[in-house]
Amino acid sequence: MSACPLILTILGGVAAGTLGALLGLGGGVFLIPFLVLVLNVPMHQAIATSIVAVIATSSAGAAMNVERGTVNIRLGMLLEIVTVLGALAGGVTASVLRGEVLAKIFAALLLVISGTMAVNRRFTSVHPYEPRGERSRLAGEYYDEAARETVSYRVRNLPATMAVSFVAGNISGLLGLGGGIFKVPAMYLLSGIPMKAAAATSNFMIGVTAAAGAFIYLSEGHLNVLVAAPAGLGVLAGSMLGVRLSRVLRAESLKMVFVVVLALAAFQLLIR
Amino acid sequence: MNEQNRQAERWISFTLRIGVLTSALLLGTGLVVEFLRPHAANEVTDPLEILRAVLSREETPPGMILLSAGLLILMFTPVVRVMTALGTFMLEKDRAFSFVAIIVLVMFILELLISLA
Repeated sequence: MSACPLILTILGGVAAGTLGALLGLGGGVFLIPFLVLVLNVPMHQAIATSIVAVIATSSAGAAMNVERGTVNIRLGMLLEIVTVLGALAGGVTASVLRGEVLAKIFAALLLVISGTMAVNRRFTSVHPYEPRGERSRLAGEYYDEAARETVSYRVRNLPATMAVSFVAGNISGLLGLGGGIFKVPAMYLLSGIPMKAAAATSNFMIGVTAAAGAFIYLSEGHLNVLVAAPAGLGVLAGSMLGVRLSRVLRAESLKMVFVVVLALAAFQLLIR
Repeated sequence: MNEQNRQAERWISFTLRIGVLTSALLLGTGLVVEFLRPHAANEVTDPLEILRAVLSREETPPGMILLSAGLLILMFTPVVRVMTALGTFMLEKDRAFSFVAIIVLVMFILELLISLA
């Protein structure tokens, strides 16, 4: 790879990471279409690259969230058993599927994500978590800086959240995405975990889930250092930039633009 | 939240931070080195192949070694994080969650062995 595509890959990674952080999605949603459609990277290589980027952003974010105390480490570790199993199944499935088939599955998921963004369903207005009652070892508490209060909660309906986490792990291994789009609502709505703790715990788990998928892609020879390194570093830098920008920019106003961009990328991948 | 839990959180956070920083440093340096080097058409770009070449003392571009090392460290960071969590659960004498961490680790080890076989 010459210097020009190397720079283009870094810039693409920065853009994907920034947009991902601004919209609360992982960078992979933007990175994979960019690599496949703009740089003509094979689908398997693009997914492997996205998985590496997911590990980088998840680990960096989790380091901060763990220190703030918003991550429910025990719940995360328990759910990791099923997400890792899901990622292994997804990675093995991906290794036997052709790149074109993977691209079409990815395109279908992009359409679902852009549709969800268009509907713009928000969960933050509901507070289904249960601060009282018998506390198990999975119960958690954290200090909410915005509300200036300590939030306590207990975890209910764990088998349902575990089932959704398996699916999220499977998507991670199969398509190189974090799967937070499924896990966070499941933890919030099914297990009654407050949104901040659900998002932080999901992010904490993503690194381990993605690493499980990454080793399969690595052993299959789909990881290209000259693509994964610049893209991964770019996404990491972009996600940090996105977090800062989200404090001053209103991502809501940009959302509809990205709904259209994602839908167009999905159609491009479908007809390719 | 007790002091033991806070200590565990600090260790886990520290592990993740060190992993990401080390990897970012290697990837950044590797990219600068590779940026300055002209590339051949059929160059080996698979990190495992590069690792094998280094172990068998074949001539390998330094930038590619740095990039491969950065990627491998990044990929192993979550695994080391699980090991750290296991250590903290054991110190807390939490047998149930030590067992959970061991299950996750065993799955990783089995996967690695099967993948590399």
